[in-house]
Amino acid sequence: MNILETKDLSVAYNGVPALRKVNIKADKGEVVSVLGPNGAGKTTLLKSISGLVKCSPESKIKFLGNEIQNILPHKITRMGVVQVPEGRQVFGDLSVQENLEVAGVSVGMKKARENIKKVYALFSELESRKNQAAGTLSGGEQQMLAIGRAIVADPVILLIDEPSMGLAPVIVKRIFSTLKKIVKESGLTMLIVEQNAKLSLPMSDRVYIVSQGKVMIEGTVDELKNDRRIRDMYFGGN
Amino acid sequence: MLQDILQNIISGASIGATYGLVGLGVVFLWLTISRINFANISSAMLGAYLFITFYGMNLGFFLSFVFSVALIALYGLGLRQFIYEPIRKRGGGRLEFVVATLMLCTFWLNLIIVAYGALPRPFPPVFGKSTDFVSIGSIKISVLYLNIYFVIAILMVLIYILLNKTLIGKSFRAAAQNREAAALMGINVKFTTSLSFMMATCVVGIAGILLAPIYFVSVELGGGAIGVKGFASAVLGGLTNPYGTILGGVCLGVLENFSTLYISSTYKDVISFSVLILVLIIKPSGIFNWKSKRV
Ligand SMILES: Nc1ncnc2c1ncn2[C@@H]1O[C@H](COP(=O)(O)OP(=O)(O)OP(=O)(O)O)[C@@H](O)[C@H]1O
Ligand SMILES: [Mg+2]
Repeated sequence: MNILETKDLSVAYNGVPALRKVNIKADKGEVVSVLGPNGAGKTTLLKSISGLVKCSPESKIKFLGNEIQNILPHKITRMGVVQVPEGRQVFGDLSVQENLEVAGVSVGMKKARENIKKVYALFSELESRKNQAAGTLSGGEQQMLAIGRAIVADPVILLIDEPSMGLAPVIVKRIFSTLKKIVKESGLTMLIVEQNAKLSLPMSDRVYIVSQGKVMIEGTVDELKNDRRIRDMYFGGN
Repeated sequence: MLQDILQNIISGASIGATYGLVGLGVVFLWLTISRINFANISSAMLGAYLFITFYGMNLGFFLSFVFSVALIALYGLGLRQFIYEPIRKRGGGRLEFVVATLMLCTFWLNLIIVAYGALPRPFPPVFGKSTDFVSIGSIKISVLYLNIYFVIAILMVLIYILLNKTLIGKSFRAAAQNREAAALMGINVKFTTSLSFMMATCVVGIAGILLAPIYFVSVELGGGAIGVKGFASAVLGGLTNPYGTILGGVCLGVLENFSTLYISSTYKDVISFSVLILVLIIKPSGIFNWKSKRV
């Protein structure tokens, strides 16, 4: 079943195009990776799906068959399209627990409490820092919190923007293994933007490679692995 | 002598706390929309005039208070709807908001003069007469000041509970820190913005009702001097710390009283200006601004 689909999605910032007629889709239970160089438009893609940036009039974004391109961001989240933004963006003055609670506004008290429990089970280091201000967490812990927060909001599809950004390899490994676990256990759909293909591709089903606001290459991970150019560029040679 | 000092601290702190409330109006808006409302103090004047109007209709203290605060909250909503949003939608920034609210401040002053006349009106002795005193040992404390403390203490507890113990308040703080991330978490930032406007006008409206017994119900409540004192309190709290703002106001009030006592009452109003300027030069992030780290 098709969960998310964009049709001719174009975005411009002050007349300068950042996305040009991008078509991507994600089916139920799939993990879809978006790769591309800096400034390719990956963050813009996620922001436009979440409703944070306006797309051009002919663009269409469909979630579970319904067009969402003109819906307000918080409503899109409440429908089940939840994003973990680039650079984590946790609420620094709020405690860890409060960050998670706030993410539960749309799902109701009871469900929120259950989901928070789930998050603490996934990231035990967060539970032991429950009452600490989120701004004083380490970068890795903040990323865990950012992911945890999104989980509390009960996503049907989770959009993740560069979870490895600025983090040590050990932490990154831990975060990716948890992401894998989340997908396996909950069966949610994931759209993941990650520069480090070695991390994201092993857990992905399909890949889009974007550059200069366009989808240049798309295919399943297996197909792309056999493509020499791509293998050299993204799989670190042989 | 010691009695004098104590009495001055008590009365100064109580008036100062109302300056702090006026400052809270600045803080609540700064936190959420990063704008300074130059008509902030108008809510104080409106609150006081609304109160005496309702009170004049024999509604009694409680109903008059509730009705005037409710109307002031509605006014806050209107401020967002008819001033802030139109400016924002047309791409206007801080400057446009400043000019619009400056004009609004003048508008309210003149409307009140047209509607109620320019002469100050007495405020009913709902918080006690200025001649009522309670004695604790050898210190005589005016009942009026005690009542001001009482109202502000209740208000601060309510604000604390709202901001820290309720989901709405936590969402409010989240949206204040990062609008985009808040929206991504399903928080309706339009709602939290409305809430901040309403909270801002409400606290200032209540401050107006509390100040009215001291300043009379007059256009003075909607003008420069008190507005600047409120703003100075907010600056002491770094424009972001509500509790620091109240503390800042308290210090201002005490300082004011002592300058009246030891120097001259003519310098009273200069104090807050000087404090404002000094803080802005020496520590623009605020003196009473603990936990100011923003991520
Ligand atoms: N708010 C903005 N205003 C103007 N231009 C912007 C804005 N945000 C992004 N852009 C531009 O749009 C293009 C795409 O940016 P985007 O952030 O989507 O890239 P990205 O693929 O996420 O890059 P990175 O890998 O560095 O995160 C860039 O050229 C960028 O300069
Ligand atoms: Mg990016």
